[in-house]
Amino acid sequence: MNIFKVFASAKKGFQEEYASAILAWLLNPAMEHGLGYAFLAEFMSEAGKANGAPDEIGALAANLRTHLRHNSEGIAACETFLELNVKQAFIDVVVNLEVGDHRWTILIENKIFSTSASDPSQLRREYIGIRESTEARFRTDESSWSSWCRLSMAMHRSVQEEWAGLQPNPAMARF
Amino acid sequence: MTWDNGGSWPSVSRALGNLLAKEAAGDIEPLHEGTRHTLKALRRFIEDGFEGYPYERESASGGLNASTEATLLYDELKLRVGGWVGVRHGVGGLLRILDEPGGLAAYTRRFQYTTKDMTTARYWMPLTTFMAVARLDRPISSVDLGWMDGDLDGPLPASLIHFVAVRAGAPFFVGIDGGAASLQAMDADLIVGKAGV
Repeated sequence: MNIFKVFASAKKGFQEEYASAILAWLLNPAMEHGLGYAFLAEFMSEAGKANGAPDEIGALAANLRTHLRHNSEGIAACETFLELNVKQAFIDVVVNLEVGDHRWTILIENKIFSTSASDPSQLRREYIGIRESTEARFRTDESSWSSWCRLSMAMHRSVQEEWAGLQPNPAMARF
Repeated sequence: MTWDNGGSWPSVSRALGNLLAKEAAGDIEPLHEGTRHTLKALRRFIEDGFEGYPYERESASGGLNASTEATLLYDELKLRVGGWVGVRHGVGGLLRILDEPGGLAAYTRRFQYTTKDMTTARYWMPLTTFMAVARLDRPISSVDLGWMDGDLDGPLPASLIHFVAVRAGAPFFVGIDGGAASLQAMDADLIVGKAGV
């Protein structure tokens, strides 16, 4: 049985928002799936293979694990947001990650159909919005922003290719 | 990243596959039985294009719905009486076509057509609805927009709402999250940038 296909068989089909919720659920290590950091680590590891992705992502993924005894400096902390409302934009999924001295805020703009990406200013607005959002808890100051904030996109392949040349901000273009 | 296995692109599907492979080999801690099943189902769902069960038969027949009886040009559809027309993304998709160069009449554009009842099929609309939307292809003083209440599937980009507004003589209403106050708080660039999907 594939419960996803069952829901997608309904008249309205499978909506982009459902995919965002599933992704946020999997990425959140505290949810009842019992995966802990396993999927988040695999997701980060896979994302780190992208051309131009920061090298630190691989190391970050390798250090995402749960601890029975909380006496380690490498304890990971994570919080996720689904459809975070920031100024002028909704961001589908936001993940705040902290492992030791590494602090990241990951933005995910989700697309599941190639026709969904008709707004080239969307990423820019989300990026500007999250910079001014209090939910980006690991922000320290303006100058350090680009060192820890990257933008990730889980989306339809053709959209990815279409947006590959979009470089509204150097920090976004790297990922 | 992409959702499906995207060749050189990192993908969610591949991340799921790697996770399942590691678990099977004992390289990571065991997963709950239900979770493992859910991940397998999700990966298959992603690779099948987020489609439900009825659409599996479509892909097996060259992308056409199993009920499709013909693929017709717009000019050929105009000669039909009754029936149903399949358009990707429904009425919203049809409006987008109107806004593209060549519009409906582009000689390469064909639509799936059937005389079978497609009431429950996604992205299918009665031929009468199709023709009512198609009338927006040219400026006219009065257009029946009744089809929008029942057949419009999801929000429209601002550009297409404008497209409808300048062609329809009859008044219609636009729903906005947050109401009029939300609209007034938007600047022109933001309104124009609304993607709708």
